[in-house]
Amino acid sequence: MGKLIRQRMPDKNGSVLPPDLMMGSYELQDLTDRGVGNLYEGKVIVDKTYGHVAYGCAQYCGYGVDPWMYWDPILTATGGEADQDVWDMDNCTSSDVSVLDYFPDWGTGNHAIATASVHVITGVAPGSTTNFASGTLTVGGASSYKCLATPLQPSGPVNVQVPTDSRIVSQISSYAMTTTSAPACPSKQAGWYRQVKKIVTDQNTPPGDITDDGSVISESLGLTTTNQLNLAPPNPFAPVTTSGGGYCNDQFGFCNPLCPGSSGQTDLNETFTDKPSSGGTYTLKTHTLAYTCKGDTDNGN
Amino acid sequence: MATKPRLIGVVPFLLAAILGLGAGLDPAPEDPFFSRIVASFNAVDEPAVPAILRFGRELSIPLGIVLDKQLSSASFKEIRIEHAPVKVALDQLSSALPSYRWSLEHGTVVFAPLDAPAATARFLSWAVSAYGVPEDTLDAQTAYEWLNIRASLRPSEGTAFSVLSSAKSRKWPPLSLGPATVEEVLDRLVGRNPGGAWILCPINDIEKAAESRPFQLIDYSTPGVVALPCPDQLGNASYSTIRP
Repeated sequence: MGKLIRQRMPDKNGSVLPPDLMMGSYELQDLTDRGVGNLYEGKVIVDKTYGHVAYGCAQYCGYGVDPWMYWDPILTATGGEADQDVWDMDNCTSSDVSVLDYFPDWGTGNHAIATASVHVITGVAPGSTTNFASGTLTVGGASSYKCLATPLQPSGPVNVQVPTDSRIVSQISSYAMTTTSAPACPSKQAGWYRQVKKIVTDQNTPPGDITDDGSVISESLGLTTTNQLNLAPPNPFAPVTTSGGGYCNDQFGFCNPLCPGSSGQTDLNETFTDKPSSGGTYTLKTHTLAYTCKGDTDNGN
Repeated sequence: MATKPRLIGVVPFLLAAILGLGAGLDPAPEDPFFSRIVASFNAVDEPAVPAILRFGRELSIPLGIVLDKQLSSASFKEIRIEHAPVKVALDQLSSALPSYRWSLEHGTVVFAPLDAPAATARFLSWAVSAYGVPEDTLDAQTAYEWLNIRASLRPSEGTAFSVLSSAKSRKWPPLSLGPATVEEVLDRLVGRNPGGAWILCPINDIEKAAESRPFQLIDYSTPGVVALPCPDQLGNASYSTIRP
């Protein structure tokens, strides 16, 4: 570069670089090696007097040979849609990036379970299958010494979830209710208050969480024959819409004149109904809520 | 067992007063509530209860509705209100429901039938002890208040509750009341910001009213479709809080 400047060598159009040129960008072209080529730039010495160098990419700028499905497995509900993506290592920047644009053709292993329209996976029926994409990617890096356009077909599992049950994700609070607690029991009564965060789970073993925001959850409650605390059953309220990743909160408890001294227990059946944002209505497994003066449990938890 | 004998034997003319059936008893004209102007409200071939609830929500007027079968099946053929005082608008609504009257109770507009069953009046005038609810969703506060109401209706029994909510559910401010009637409790609950409505199912026997909470509260600020209460008595009806 310094020689071009000092000797004022013209290019094919007769233009020369200014003698006081201090900085600028440039592009190298390999005119004889067709295809990806084998010429690459690395370190450029820009000041031989005082010492200054600049570094370029210094390697072949292809992608890794093993692109992957970003969502692995990809989860969707029956009738629901989920956007899939393909990622790979960009050897030029050593970072993982989306290469979705290089994969125009998509499919699934079993159309009875899920279908693919470009990168949108649609659940058809509960179960598991695969999703795959086909495309051509320029593959290569510093160690390969060449970058080749390579046909690739990354794939991964698809899981079409069915709302089946719910689980306690975390406990928010749990304490004895008295006439001075918040919330409080009426005069001459005591009981227990508990609040938990819940999420709907799927049909798999072990169950997977369904992180669907916008599901509408309603509950029905009924007394069992075990009612030593002489409680009236709770009255259900309006349904709630899940948020924050498929979560809802459940506050449950009781007050009665037998607590805190009674060792009795009352069991209630609690059944959630889930209406996912993708459609359908699912009655989840019934849980037993056990109420005692010393605590409330949900299926023993 | 109900244990408040002092309310037995309420005579009919007291019923009207208890239910606030005194549309003819004009509230004080200086009441700022009545100085508000309804810019526009229309209800054409719309079921009456959802329309009244919509009126309350759009104008941020807390409401109470004492349901009966007639109201549940009634519809407004054509109500058109343009730039009218609230009182005129309410009169227009109630005039389309011949058996109903409205009144302002504890800051809440209550629509009630002229011939409400005695048990309904008795329930609304039932005395409950002083009680407070913490900041929570309106549903949760309703559940807590029901603990207290039921404790006065059946002091020997307990009451369970279960309330679902989400992180996005609106929290209502705490409310602390001294000794009050059930109606005052309901009025005070829905009379706070952001406003709401209570709906009372028909009550023919106050003993049965204690078996299952006979009222439902609606939060004006919560979008969605709410199923109206007492479907076994009134059929399935719903009220949409989603603005068109």
